[in-house]
Amino acid sequence: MRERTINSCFAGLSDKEVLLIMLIKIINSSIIVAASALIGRELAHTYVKRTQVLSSLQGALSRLETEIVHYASRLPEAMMRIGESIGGASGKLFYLTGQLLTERKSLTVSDAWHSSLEQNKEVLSLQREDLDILQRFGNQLGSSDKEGQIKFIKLTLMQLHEEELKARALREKYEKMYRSLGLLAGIALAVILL
Amino acid sequence: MSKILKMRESDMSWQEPVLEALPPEIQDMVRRLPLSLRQGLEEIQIRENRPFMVYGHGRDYFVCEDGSICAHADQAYHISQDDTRKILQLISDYSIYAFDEEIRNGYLTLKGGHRVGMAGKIVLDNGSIRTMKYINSFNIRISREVIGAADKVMPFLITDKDICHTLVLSPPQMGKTTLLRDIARKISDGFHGFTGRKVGIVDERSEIAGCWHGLPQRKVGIRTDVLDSCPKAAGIMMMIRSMSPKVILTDEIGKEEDAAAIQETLNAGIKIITSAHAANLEDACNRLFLSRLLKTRIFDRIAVLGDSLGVGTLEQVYAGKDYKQLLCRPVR
Repeated sequence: MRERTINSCFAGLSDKEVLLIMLIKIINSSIIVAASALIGRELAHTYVKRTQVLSSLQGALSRLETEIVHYASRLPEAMMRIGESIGGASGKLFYLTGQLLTERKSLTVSDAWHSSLEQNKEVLSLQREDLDILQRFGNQLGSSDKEGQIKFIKLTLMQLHEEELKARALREKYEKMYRSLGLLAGIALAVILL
Repeated sequence: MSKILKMRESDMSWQEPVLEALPPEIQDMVRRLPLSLRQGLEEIQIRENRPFMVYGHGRDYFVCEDGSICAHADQAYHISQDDTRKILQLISDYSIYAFDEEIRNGYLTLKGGHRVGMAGKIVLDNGSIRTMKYINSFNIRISREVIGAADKVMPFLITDKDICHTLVLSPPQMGKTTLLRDIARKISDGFHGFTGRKVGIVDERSEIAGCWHGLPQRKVGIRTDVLDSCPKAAGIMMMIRSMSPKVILTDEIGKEEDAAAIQETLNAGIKIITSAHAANLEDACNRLFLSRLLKTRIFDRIAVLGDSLGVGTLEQVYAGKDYKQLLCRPVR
């Protein structure tokens, strides 16, 4: 029975042509499934990336604290050094700030930090509240004595840690969901279109 | 000397490091100042909400927004809060936290050895100064080194190819530090008939060597080591132990512990060259600390600076043992 319907669909076509059409359909549907799965992965990845960035930012801030307390390094060189060594999106944020200051393109630390934050916003994949914390941190950076700086770094570290915990909870919840949702939606779409 | 004076006045190497510490608008104003004023510029005075002023050739000038000199204070460019905030970040290389000690002392040193004095509100902690906030006044003092300042005094400081323990007495602003720096350079580099010796400078106020990031910005000689911003007494002891210098140079002694440290250098067989505030030998003998130090007859030579023939005149050189005058008239 089934054979007959298929045959009626492809009535008048040679075996070769039938095979070709089948092949195209299989390729199309696999593209749909792959694309949809990728979209799902990408969505899941923003959650993963946020936690990664938040944790590497904390690492960078701890390094900055060490540079300030133990080495009394100048901020521009310290920022560039930290940026280079931690790499990634948060590394870019630190490195660019240091670079802007070294090249005297920004006249205050907060200017440099804010413009670096603005330029790296996309790659950081952070939420509004994370960016707010970073912005507040930038306003204080380099503008007070050692004690003040340490206090602000500690405060920022604490806030970032809280955000990281929240981000991790969200990640637990949504990472798997988006991944499987992407794949399943792709399969569903392929079935419907076939 | 006139040649030296000429060289000193036309020396414009101060511009780059000093201007780097100023926001662009003020930089432009300084750059547009008349050349003759720039060549003789001594101070750049910045006070929040007040006219922008520069000091040179013995008087101060109001500076307009276009860099010209104006007669009245109200025509001058007025420094804004934004300006002072930027200057504070720029002079500290965006790292105020790294200058806690300097801010407590009220000054920091720029690249090139130029000194920036600061004033604001002092924060006390148990009666001692903890830090300064609302910093709103800056005085950038342009320092120019005078190579050859020690030419006249050198012959008196060396007997039998050995260096004498020397005390330089001088009122403030008479070229005491300049002289010490040039003495250090001469002893360290050596000159005709004298091989250079290892010199250690303990530079408590970063004035002799004008260090920036610990590196001397002044020509202090090839065999010279500098302990920057180091308390004198502790620094002298560190030098003796760690660097084995033949001569130790330090500025403005005045504390009991300094005398003890000087005694220690004598025990170690190291020569000491230092300075103190006093108008002349009698004045020094009236000072409690100095008179006691002089009575110990530690010093072989006592050089007195003044301005009878202009700033940096060598007024008299005394032999330390019997106060015999070695100079028949002031020289410059």
